[in-house]
Amino acid sequence: MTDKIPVTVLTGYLGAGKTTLLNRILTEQHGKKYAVIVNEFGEIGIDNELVVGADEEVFEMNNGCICCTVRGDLIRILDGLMKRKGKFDAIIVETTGLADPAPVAQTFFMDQDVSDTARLDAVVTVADAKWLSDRLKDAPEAKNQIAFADVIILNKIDLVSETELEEVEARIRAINPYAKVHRTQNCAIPISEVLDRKAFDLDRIIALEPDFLEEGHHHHHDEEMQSVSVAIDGEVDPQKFMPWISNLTQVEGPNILRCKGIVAFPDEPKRFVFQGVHMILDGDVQGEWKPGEKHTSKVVFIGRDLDAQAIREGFLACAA
Amino acid sequence: MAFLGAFMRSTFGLPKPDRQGIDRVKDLARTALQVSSETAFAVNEIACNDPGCPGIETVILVMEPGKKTRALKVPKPLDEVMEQDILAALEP
Repeated sequence: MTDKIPVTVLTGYLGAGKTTLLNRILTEQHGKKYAVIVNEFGEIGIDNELVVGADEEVFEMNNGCICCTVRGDLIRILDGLMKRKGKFDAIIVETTGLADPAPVAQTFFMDQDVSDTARLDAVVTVADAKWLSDRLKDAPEAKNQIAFADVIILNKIDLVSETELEEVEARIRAINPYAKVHRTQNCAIPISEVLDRKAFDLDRIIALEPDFLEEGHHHHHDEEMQSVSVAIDGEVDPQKFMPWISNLTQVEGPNILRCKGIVAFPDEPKRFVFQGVHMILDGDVQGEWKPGEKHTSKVVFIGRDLDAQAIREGFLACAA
Repeated sequence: MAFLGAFMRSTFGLPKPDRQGIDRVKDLARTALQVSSETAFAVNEIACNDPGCPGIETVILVMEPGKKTRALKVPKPLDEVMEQDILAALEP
């Protein structure tokens, strides 16, 4: 795990400030070297020898299956970059303002060569505080980018009032209550808040458990994209849970953008932790329960047109 | 937790890198296609749970410089792929 190169996926709508953030990352004095993969050499030039152009070639490994799409260009570029291993500390993949992050994320799960050498670190989304609410109404890609994010940089806060800021943040929370939101001007943010977040590491999900188990309270409701979280105040029966999660992700996979969960099985000293993108799941037992610690179980799904009631009932029926 | 084993493989089945198996198929593909040394290959065994997808198949992405990526699909697990399977996958 440790010797794999971390890869950050940077998304955001056109003009939100992705290039500003990239330039900040590349020019600050941190003594590290980052390779950047860009689709377009954006509106501001990025001056760095390790910026590589990509042609955004989305490839279906299987006919029409959304869950088997990978970015062919990424596989090729990463293959080339790996041959230069040792020359940089991390890779940042900047997607165009309209891109769906899913094929990028899935490339790290689907391609064996890529997952051998690199690990997906986090999806970071830059959003324009002034225009995000409008984009969420008229652009499905903007919703995808918010729903997918582990870190959201709410930028250009100097252009809106505190009330507007609270309003836009509530809209973000309605779609994705679990991402870490940072309010910024000119994307001024410590690099440590953006890079090396380990958002896709199972042991990291455990570390965030207290936050993760907290119920979100938001007053907004997004008609199309929402998060569904269900908690059981106790253990679940693996004989019921495994077929349920397997079937749910197979049937609803195209609509489920991200999912995470920590569940307790009877007679299992460790937590079972999982996370996934669409139908692709990664899961394992991690982190021992402490003696006397209360065993609880929780699952979270973020997606489009999810049947929240069916998911709730399905998970609750798995109680041991 | 023996019961979990089967589900872990089918539901939480991430790639288990099998370097030798992948390299073997890459070499077969390179020979069968007679492409330049700059051509990159990505070889993956896909077990997609989507009802619309076949069972286990091996997908070979062929990335020749300056050309669009091609995908060759062999309806077999990685370990069973032979050179004639790759040649058959080339047929339109």
